[in-house]
Amino acid sequence: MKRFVIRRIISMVAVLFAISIVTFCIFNVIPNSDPAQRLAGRNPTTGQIEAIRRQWGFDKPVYTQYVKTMEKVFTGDLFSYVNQTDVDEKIIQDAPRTFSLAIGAAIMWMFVAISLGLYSAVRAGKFADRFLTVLALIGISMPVFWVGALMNYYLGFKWNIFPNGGYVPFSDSPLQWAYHLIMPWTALSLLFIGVYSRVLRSNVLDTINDDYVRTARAKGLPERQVLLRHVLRNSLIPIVSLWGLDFGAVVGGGALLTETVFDLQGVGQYAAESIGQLDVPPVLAIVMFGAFFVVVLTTVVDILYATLDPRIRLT
Amino acid sequence: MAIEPAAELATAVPEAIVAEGGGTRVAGLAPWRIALRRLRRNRTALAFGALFVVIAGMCLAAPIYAEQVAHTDQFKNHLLEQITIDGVKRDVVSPSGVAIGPTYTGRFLLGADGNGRDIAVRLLYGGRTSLMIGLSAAPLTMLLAIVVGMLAGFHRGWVDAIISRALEIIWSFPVVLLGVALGTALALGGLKIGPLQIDGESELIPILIIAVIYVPYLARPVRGQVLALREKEFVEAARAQGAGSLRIMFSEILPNLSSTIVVFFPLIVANAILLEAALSFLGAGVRPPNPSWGTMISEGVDRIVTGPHLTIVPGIMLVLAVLALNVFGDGVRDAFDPRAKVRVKHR
Amino acid sequence: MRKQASALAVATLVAIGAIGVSACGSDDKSSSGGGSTSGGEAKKGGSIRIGSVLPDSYDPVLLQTIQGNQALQLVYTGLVTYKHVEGAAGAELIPGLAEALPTISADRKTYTFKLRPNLKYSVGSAVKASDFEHTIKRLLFLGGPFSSFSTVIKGAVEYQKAEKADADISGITADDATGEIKVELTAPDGKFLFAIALVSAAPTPAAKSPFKRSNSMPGLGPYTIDIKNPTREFVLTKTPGFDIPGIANGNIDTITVVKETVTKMTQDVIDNKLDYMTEDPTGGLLPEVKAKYSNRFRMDPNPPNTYWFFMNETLKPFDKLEARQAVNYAIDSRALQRIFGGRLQPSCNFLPPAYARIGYKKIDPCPYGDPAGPPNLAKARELVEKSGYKGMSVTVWGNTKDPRPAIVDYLRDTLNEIGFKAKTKLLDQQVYFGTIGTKKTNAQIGFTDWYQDFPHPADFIEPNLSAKAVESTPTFNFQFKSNPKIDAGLKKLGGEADPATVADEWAELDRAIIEDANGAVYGNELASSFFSERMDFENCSGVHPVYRSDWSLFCLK
Repeated sequence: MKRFVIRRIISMVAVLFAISIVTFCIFNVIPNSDPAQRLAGRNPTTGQIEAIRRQWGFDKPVYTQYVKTMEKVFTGDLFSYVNQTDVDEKIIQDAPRTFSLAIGAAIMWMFVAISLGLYSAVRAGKFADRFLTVLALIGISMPVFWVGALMNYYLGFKWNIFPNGGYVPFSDSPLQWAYHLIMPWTALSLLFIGVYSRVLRSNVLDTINDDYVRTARAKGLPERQVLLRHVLRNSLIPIVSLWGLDFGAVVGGGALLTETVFDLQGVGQYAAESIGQLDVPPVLAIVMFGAFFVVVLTTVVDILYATLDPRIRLT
Repeated sequence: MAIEPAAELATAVPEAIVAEGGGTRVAGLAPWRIALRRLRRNRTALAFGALFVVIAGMCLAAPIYAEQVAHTDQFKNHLLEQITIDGVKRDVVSPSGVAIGPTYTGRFLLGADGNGRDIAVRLLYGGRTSLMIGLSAAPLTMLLAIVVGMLAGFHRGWVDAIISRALEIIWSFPVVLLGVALGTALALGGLKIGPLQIDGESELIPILIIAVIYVPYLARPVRGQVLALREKEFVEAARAQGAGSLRIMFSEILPNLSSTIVVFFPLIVANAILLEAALSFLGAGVRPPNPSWGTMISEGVDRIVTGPHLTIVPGIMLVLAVLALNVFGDGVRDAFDPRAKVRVKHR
Repeated sequence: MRKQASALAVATLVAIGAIGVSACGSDDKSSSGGGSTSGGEAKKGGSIRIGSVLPDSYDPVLLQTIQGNQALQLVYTGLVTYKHVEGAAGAELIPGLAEALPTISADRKTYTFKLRPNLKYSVGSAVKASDFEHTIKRLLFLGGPFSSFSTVIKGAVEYQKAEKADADISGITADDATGEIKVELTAPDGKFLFAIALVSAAPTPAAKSPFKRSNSMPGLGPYTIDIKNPTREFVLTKTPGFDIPGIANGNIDTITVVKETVTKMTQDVIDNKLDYMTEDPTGGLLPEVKAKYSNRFRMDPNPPNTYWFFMNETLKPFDKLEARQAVNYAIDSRALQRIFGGRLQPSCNFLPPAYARIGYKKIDPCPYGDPAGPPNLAKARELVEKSGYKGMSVTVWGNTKDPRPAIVDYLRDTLNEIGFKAKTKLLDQQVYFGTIGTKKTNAQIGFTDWYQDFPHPADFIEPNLSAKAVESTPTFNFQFKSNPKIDAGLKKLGGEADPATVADEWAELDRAIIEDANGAVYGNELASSFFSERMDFENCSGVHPVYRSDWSLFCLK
């Protein structure tokens, strides 16, 4: 067991390392405008540009630059090419917004998906089931940015039911914080609800006739208890692993579409802006941040699975 | 990923397929026929499949519509033109920049955009682009995933380790971030690998990016299946007959993967279309002035106050196309695995 | 300079009438730029919220954008500054931290300033004459965007080469005891005094101004700044006891500036959640704003600017005069007006109409037809044929800031109309100008604009069209070539401190640019001011020719 854990952790670090190299390459190796020139501003003299090159290390070969930049990422000394803001500091400031979005949405989608999925399975074949299946399918077919933009305009700006985007920190006012996040949570959850409810439904239908469930019924347990205690618990196991992956990805900037549409100014939105501006330092830092979450959660889940199911340790 | 959760694709392959795939050398035929029959009986799936074909057909007919009905193309700016509707002369784009709304006549059926371009024409051409990208990326994904998955599953050992780690790297990148990063970077300088040169403005770039991004989602299940298949008797038998690895992979394992492939295909096309829309929405996908549903939604959001239809219509087309694929894909999956079908409970 | 990406607006709005007359589109509610100087009874006190795309830098020496200038001009005052009144009068130079405008020697190479006595920064320390030299050193050492305007100071170039922070600049002598500052130039430079009025030359206490980017240097101005979150919010509060004649004390007590997307900003001002926005309402909402909220919305050709399409004269097809003229004939400013949502005034001149006193003379008749009238596509096609470049592939460059993609698409369509095979290429605004300003990008034609840095025709012509400009990389001279008439003219007229004395000669240069088609000008943009209902729109609109809006002039109802 211990060997398995160590192997997974090593592989996790290796993956993160590889991700950082890939990201760095994407921007630095592909021809684009010289960052030293951009930092220099208007009508720069060649002397100015050289000075900046030296300060930032652009005159060194690519791998030295890579090492230097990664150093900066971890020591918190990283500055944006565009306006020289401290990148790590900004990520730390923006992270609560992304977390608020991700955690809230995750709770919402799990809760709704489990309820709908369970209900759907129990009423399998009947109208309710079919209706919910259709809804789920529509949910996974809608692009989140489209739904979000329409919600923002109609519910937010036109009919003033919800605020039209923006973010209020929890410390300022928990009520406003939630009020501003209801639409983003809903928009982001729609997609996941669609998927997870169907997965749960099929899992439930798979387990509902298994032996141990039949045994529980034979023992005389009420159906509700059978469902909740045995069926649901076992159906949730595969969901949790997938949830871990998706949550990690949402936190890591995957929710950038939602953030952009609702102007939440979280980490994802920052990443999207920086990419457009070819601002390498923030992109690198955010990708590491995001990948870190995904990889850590995947590893944790894998380890959890391995503790539950010894067979998996061998692969 | 905010686009398509891991959950959906990862659980698309029911166990039944693996079970049915093994046992006989010519395992491929029987399940196919049975599946096809089941699919034919599934009216809903067929209806939605037909819907997709209709949408695709409409989009393919874009040049005809453009020429015969709208008398323009998807690029032409009509900023200063006036058209006559019900005897009244109206500006296509008013001096303060407000574009005309739907006219429900041949020209500017759905109105115009800020540059005076015909929305209906752009919608159809945009559909062409979006569907083309989705339908091109998916086979590419399948090809890469099969190759990679087979290699990893069959050879195991360090080949598997390297491939799995590479897949994990792609998988761990937040999908949209990776797509936007690649899309932006490649759009600037184009792609140059050895003799292969692709211009930054070409649609091949989003196709390649989307294809590569989805490889891990398919490669993992393929790898899993191959791992299981290689233990089957017929593989051993082929080996005993002296067949080499490559031959075994092609003639024994590949046919048994076919059901997986077929089940996944509509799903990947659907997700590819959604990803392309997302990338184009952020400006990292299809490059202007070429329309795609994603760029149209983005342009529409900018002008949502004066013309909500500019956002709503391309979105609806997108949803319909993807929904059609999803429902049809569901039907295909049900056809291959009866156990996944609805089981009516009698209590 | 460029709007937003690199634009500090410091301008003289002179002939308001000319602008008002040239405005077309009668259904547009554009005021004639005049702005009331009523002053009136501006209510004092209160706090407001402003939506902005925040400054690119809180360090005045490294500032490039209008948004930054608007905020920091309230915090840092230069030796000389601009008059803080609305309308044309606001473009006049007045003494700031100096007692009076400097005495200039007969050879126009030495400027002598005297600091006002007993000045104290917002933190209480005394303002010293040597602080000015320190600021210029920082400007040169850090290579700030406007440092090139200071390289005319004697010893400045050597200082930069030495790369030592505490080296001396021989051309500046400051006496802390008497408060006298003497600046010697290597050559007469008519623009120099304007450069001193820029925020980048505003003195800050030497002890608190290190030789690296600093966000929190004290200054002396009507407001002090508190940066809550550099990329999201900062607050300006009135400086107690601030009293320099000529510089308004500011009516509003607290100004909170927050970052939002432009669409959200517009929606918020409509809903009165924000009191002002530093940007123009985005295309979609502009008609709505103009229609429904005209009682708190206005447009002004301010700051002076010009919009045109550059044409690289070292590459085909625009190396031939015929091809360039063809583009000029083919462009229809009325179409572009629509793309600007009505916020464009067609023009045939390179210099903006605001320069009527100092070099603008309307070119009438315009060699390419009335700018406010229809284009001449037939002639354009004929010229394309004549150039021999018919059917040639052309890439039109633009950036992603609204409405530039639409502008560029229009040009693409027009070029196709007259016989080229055009396509577009868009870049993010941050990287756009740097990329096309690099020769190897080989950008043939594309979008560009210029917002004045200070009221002088050389500010428009030199960076965009001179031979000197081509020497720097990246350059703003996207033609990558210069018209010899322009270089000769710049040499002759550049030293003149007051361009009004040689206005006719500047006008000649302007005409030469248009006749030789060194670019395809289509007009001047009108800037918008959109306020919430709380703001006193009538008396305190704050429209300023240099800062675009002077927030110290805002007041509540």
